[in-house]
Amino acid sequence: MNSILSILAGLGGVAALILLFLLASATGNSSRLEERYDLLLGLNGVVALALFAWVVTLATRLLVRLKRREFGARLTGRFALAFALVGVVPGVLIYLLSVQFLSRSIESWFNVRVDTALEAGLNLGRAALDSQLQELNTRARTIALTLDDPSDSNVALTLTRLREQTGVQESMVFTASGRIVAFSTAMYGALLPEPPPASVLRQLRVARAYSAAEADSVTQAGTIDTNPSANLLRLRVVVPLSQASSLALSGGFNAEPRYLQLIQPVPEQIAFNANEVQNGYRDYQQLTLSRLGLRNLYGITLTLALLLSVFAAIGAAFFLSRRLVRPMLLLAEGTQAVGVGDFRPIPEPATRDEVSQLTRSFNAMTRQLEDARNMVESNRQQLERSNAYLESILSNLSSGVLVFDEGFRITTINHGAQLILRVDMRGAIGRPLESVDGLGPLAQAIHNAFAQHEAAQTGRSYWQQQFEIARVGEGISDEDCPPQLLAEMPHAGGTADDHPITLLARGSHLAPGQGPGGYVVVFDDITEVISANRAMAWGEVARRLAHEIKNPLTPIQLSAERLAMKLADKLGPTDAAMLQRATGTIINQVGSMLRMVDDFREYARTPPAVLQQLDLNELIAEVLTLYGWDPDEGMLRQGPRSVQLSVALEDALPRVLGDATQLRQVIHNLLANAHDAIDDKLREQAKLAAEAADAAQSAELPTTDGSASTALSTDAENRVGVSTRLITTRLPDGTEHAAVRLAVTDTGSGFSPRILRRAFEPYVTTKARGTGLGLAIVKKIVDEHGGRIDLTNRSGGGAMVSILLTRLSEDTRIPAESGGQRGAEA
Amino acid sequence: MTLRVLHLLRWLCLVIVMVGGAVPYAMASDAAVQRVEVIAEGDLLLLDADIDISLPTQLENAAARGVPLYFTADVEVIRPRWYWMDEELLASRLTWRISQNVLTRQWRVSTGSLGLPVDSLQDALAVVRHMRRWPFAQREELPVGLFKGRLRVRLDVSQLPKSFQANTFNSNDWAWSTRWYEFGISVPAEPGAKP
Repeated sequence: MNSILSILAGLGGVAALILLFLLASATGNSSRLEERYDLLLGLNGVVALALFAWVVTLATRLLVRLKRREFGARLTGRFALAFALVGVVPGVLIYLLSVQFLSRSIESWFNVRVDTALEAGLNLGRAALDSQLQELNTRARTIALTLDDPSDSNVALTLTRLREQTGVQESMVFTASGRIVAFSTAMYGALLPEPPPASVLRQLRVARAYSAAEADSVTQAGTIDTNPSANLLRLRVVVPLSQASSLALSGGFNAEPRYLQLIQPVPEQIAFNANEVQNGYRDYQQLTLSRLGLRNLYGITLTLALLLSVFAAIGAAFFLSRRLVRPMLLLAEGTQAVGVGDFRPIPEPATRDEVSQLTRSFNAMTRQLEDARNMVESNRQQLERSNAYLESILSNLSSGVLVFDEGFRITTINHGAQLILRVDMRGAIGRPLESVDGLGPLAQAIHNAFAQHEAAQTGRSYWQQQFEIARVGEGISDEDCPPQLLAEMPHAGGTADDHPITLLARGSHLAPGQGPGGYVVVFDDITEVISANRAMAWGEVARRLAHEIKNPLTPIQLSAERLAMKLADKLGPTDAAMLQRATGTIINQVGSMLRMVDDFREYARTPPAVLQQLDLNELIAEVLTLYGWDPDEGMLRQGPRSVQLSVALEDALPRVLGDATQLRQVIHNLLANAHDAIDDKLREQAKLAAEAADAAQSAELPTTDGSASTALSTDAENRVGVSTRLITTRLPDGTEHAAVRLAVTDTGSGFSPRILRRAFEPYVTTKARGTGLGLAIVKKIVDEHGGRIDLTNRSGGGAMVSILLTRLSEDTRIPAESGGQRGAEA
Repeated sequence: MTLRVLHLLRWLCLVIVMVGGAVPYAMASDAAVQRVEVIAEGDLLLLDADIDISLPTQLENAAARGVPLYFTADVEVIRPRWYWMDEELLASRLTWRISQNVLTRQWRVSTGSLGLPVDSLQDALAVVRHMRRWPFAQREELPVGLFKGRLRVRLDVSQLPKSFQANTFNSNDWAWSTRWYEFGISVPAEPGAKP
């Protein structure tokens, strides 16, 4: 589109130039374009008008852009103004000079001296002609006198003779009516006499004589107008002949007057010069008359030329300035684009000038900028990724991490720390650790540790200490702790326990060399480790004690038995009875001591498990049968109060690798525990009921054993649940991991938090008669089986022990089909 | 200098007037066509006209100084059309040249190739004043019917040197012309009939 426009503009410019040239050449006289002057003038005017319109359009557009404060408009305007001035000022100057010169020179052509000179020349010519006429007139009168002689009858002959004598070119005698009487000529070619023209005759009638110089053509009215430059001048003189000769010639009566006409060409030299003078005079007069017109003519042409050139110059100025400014505008736009982050290259002009070079360098710069930015961006992303990676590691780390700045204000805290300390410290960032509720002792301990480390100057980069702090959960009620956090906390059942936890913390001082300085504390909850250690220690103690105690026990028992046997006969009945009682006591106590020692030994000296493939369900059924479980009734028939069993064993359970004997003991222990828990609860209820009944009895009439019946009615809810399930978990790496879970539930009173934490430690028991070794042994066996045991309090009351056995037999790891649950419920 | 500026302004004005398409022929003279008669004679259409001519003194002066004057009579036959511009059926012109030989002081009227010597300017103008039997058209050139004709006589500056043409821009005398004189013209079916 633009190229078409520029081509059109170029064509228009060329056309205007041609028009201007034509106009200028038409201004000169004697040009063929002369006739088209008006047309040319009009065309040039139209072109000028079109140019004017163009310039006005461009100017208004520029003005509008200036008013809008469009970018680059000022520069364009400035350029356009400069170019236009450069173009217009010399043009106007030359125009003014030309106009002045023109008027001066035209005026200088016309002055009085030239005027008078030409006038004088004309007069001179006339005078020359007049003198010639005078002379011809004289000759005519001479001839007329001779012709007047009546004796001479032959006029024609006389006329010829006289003409030849006087040397006149042509002579003729004619009557007043124009009838030719006699004719004689020196021109042999002209045979026919030419009658005198009407104007001559008319004048003769008035003045009776005629004498005039004539241009040649005038005499021949009706013939082709001769070229005026053919300087054919001739003199015609007509004189009247006397009345006598007229009479003689006409025969004597009623005679017409006769005239003699002489025609003589003006000598060529005179005629030529006279004609020249006349032509010059005429041209000069024409010029004089059209002087103003001439000035107008040149002036209009010049003005048009000026207008054309001025408009063209202004238009070209606009065009050029736009052209010049456009690459700069592009550059400027590119700069702005780069400013807002757009690094696309700007189009490079095809020319090879400095501007295009600038554009190229600009593009190179933007490319480099973009590369740099991309690099920075990728670095940033990499950094972010690694940060996120570190972040996720940190947050998934089970160890607690606390980072302080130099002023011991918390800067970073990870998820693990909050879980271990059981406090939500998300709002504590930027505050000292002491400001967090319940963490004062920990903060103090950390401070002390750092201070001691500083003071010790051991050269090690870190310190390591073990703190025992009260569980901070004590200070916070459950509402303060976010539920999400609570849910994630292990063993977070019911109320918070006030047991101290043991933390193993390592701290180091971040040198301020790289990045901001500060302190890092990494700590772990080693309560369970310590508990395990304790268990191991217990095991050792138990084993030794059992060994040491068991050895003397048998002799003691044997000795007591012997005493009883040997002395029973020798004593009196009273003494015998006492002996019987004493030895009975000894034997009984030794027996129970032996049992206890056996238990200890059992705990301490569990033989290594012999892993075999076995069906867990079968094993459970076997043990349950021992407990009096009837698969059809699901009832425990043992004991004074019946306890219901709800058994849900999953079919097609894969075979597990385990030691049948040990696992049997595990099941046995768990069932016994569950049973005992329910028994305990029932006993307590019965006691409460009895007290209530006593109170009621003392107050009112004894009711029928309603309270007992209510106690019995609750029996239906007292049940022990046993279930197995196959649990399949899909690990992130895609492999499936199967495990068998055995869960034993009861509806007893559940574990108290204190017990829950240390239930697996020996000698921790809730039972009046227990050794506290049951769960410890279970734990040990499960550990040896590579399994996992968890104790939880059920939400509906009661406890649940779940064991996860992960060692399954190879061939049955993935069950062919997972069937429904086989179970029986009463 | 002021004068020059004024001249300059005038030229500018002239250019603008020219470009604006204003008719340069200002009809300020009181010359007028007084009578027109069209005669159909044989194959020709002849035109008689009487024109009242009074030349401005500037023109008379010019003629007296030997500058030839060209007078042109334009006749046009048009058929009016209401829906479009009028249709021009015929346009014809006749030009006289009136000049004086300053050397011999003789006047001459010439038209086409015909030259006629006359005694004075007035005699020469009389030829123009009384147009007689101008065969402006062949009968076949026009269809039969009644049309509108118009005639004017003007000083034909285009035959003069160009400087005179430029003169017309600033002097009304050199733009001498009569107004268009309109007349009815009836072209008869058979030759010889009077319109």
